[in-house]
Amino acid sequence: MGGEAGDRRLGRVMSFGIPDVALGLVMGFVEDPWDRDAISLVCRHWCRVDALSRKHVTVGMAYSITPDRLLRRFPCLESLKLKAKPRAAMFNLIPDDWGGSASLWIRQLSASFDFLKALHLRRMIVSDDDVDVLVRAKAHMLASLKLDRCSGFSTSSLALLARTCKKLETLFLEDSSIADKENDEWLRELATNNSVIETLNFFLTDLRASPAYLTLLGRNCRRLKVLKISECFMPDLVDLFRTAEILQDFAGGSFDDPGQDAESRNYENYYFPPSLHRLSLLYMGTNEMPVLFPYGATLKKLDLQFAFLSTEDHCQLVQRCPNLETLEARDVIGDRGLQVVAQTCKKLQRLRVERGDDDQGGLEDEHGMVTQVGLMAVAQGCPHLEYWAVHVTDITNAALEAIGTFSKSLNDFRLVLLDREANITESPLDNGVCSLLRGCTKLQRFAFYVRPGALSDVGLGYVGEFSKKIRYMLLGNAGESDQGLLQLSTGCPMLQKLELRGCFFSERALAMAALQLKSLRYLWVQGYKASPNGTDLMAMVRPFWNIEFIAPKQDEPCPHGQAQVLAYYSLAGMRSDCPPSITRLHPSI
Amino acid sequence: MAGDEQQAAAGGNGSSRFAVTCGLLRQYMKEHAGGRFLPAVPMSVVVPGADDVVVGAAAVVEEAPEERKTMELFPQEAGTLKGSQERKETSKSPQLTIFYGGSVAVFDDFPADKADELMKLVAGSFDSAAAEVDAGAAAACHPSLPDMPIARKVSLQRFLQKRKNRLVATESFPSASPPESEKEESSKRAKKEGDGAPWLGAG
Repeated sequence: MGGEAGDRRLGRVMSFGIPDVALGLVMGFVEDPWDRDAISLVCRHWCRVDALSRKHVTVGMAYSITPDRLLRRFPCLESLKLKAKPRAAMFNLIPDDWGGSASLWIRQLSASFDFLKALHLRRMIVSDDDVDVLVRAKAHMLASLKLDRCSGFSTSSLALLARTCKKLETLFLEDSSIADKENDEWLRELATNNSVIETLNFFLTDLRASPAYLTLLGRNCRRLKVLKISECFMPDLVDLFRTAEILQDFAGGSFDDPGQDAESRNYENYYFPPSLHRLSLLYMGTNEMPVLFPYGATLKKLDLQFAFLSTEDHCQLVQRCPNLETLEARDVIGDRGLQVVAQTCKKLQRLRVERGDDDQGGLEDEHGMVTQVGLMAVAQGCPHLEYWAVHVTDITNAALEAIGTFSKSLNDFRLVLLDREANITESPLDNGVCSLLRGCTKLQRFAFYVRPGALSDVGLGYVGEFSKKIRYMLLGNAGESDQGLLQLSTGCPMLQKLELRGCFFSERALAMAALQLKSLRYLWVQGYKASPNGTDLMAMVRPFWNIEFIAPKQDEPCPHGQAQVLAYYSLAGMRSDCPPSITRLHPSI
Repeated sequence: MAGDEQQAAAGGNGSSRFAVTCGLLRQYMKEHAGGRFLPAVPMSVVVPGADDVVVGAAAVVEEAPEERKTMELFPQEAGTLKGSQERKETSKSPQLTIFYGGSVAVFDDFPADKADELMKLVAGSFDSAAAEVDAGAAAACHPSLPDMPIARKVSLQRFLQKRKNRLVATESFPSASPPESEKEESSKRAKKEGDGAPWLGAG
């Protein structure tokens, strides 16, 4: 059923003659939520069978449904993922008081979702009280808790979880903002009370972790496979790596500790467990890089976003890692680095090139720039790429065409054109985008953030026409006029989530596009051609749509304070926790 | 689908879904008697402003959901009794939202009759303002968006900033470090500042 997009419309005739036992058995093997959606629409009975056997649901917007309703639809849920704040929050574009509290959800989940044992909250506010409520109800069965880019809780909640949730296998806190960071008693509690933990992730949280407790964790928790910590001086982690024998994935550590003397900086023969395949080391510089050389051939994932290497260092290191499936770096990797990747990493599936520290001359390698040269090399050299996010300083149609020609496995492609260089080689990129979309037929997510003029209205028309399977799209500085957006909105039959930034579209065109895109259920816009009085947005108003106008901050003249519009399909009615800076648009009298 | 279950439950023993739905429809019609099925079309009116060349104002009275004019018989709200109770609670303080001169104002607890008066007032001035609209709308459409720099990912940015601060800190207090450490630091710094110097020549 995972075939062409249009195949999912199953007829009722499907249901005739299939015994319940067979149906139940088959359903057990259907995990793709889209397939399940299609199945549930065949007939009432199939819907019921799906409802009772659905184990996991992702709610992309926590305000779009009530917990009650979700429970009625899927009474046997075991695992739930919820997201609240818009993605823009990760870029500091959303006001702090926007909302996104998990309280209501956690209270209802704890009270009524009897089978729930895995909870993933992303970009939400979770208080210590919320964790307390959850623990009281679920301590005996909670197997996985992910507080992913969340805020509002402290290390005392972690201690509570560690003390009471004996079955917790996954505790994920990456990039969350956690209070009382210096207190690492929770880690000791976890190491002494929990023997089943497999994944512990507090990467990018700045939580303190004493090496002794980490070693204790390695010794007591024999199933520990994934450990991602904050900064911790690498020489202090030697014991941990000696004890955690089956560790597969490690992130954190630190090669940079001014308080330590020079002798302790000897990394010759540094030991990593043989099972370790995935690594992200903080502050790794040219001098420390050789620590990885003996392990290069075993590495499947290497994250260099938080390392400080030159372009040449990247080349040297990547050359030794022929089995990489995932590579993450900053754009200091350069075209030269990407060429080495293309030659070496034939198994690469995921590649991310983040934006470096471009406004601080001297810190980053001047030669670290990624352009069409690097992209073309990777497209030709890494045929198995599925995910590719890249920040470039230049781009051409030919490079985009090459991606369309060679990168047949891509399902997620994101390109951001940086504003470092005043001019780019070629503009517009309409034909390149057209070829890319036509060639990459598996694409489900697509981001194209360029500069004014680089994608014309004609290009937007192509995007509409050839985005048959794309569900998520981000466009930045794209198009010339309303015509482009309207053209785009006649296509994109599967587009559910659209983000627009800095595009010159009028409110009326935005509203018409929102009405015209038939699968759309989420729209976020910042930077558009505002009408003098904003009333054109009202054309977007319709039942079951929540439309929120986020006013720019009065006291902040910075450009980030631009007005935003967030519109999403909701069965939960208007939310009641909007701060004063947000105006909800309603149908008028 | 959940709605179906709800209806079935509400219907009790033996009564068919159709009968239940009819009952709900009848109840709905009763509650919304008086031929008030108006389409939910946004109303916008324009009034002449004092200072602005053109100002528009749309008075939008926030309605309680149960007073919606659309016939939302299916699927979500008609059948959920609990939901409508909740909605009643939230409708105690209707808000008035005004778009005026490009800004938005929200007034809490705005009585409906006052809103009606306001709408009449605004509608009265509609004709006189209409002429100004065209000219003003054209003037307001300057084809330029304010500069909007590419946003940076906070997590990575925070990390880079932290490292930068450390470099600055170690540079400001070189004598605070022990001699060996200082040597190490400075050699490291020199390396970073002249990053790649050895291979520049080669490459």
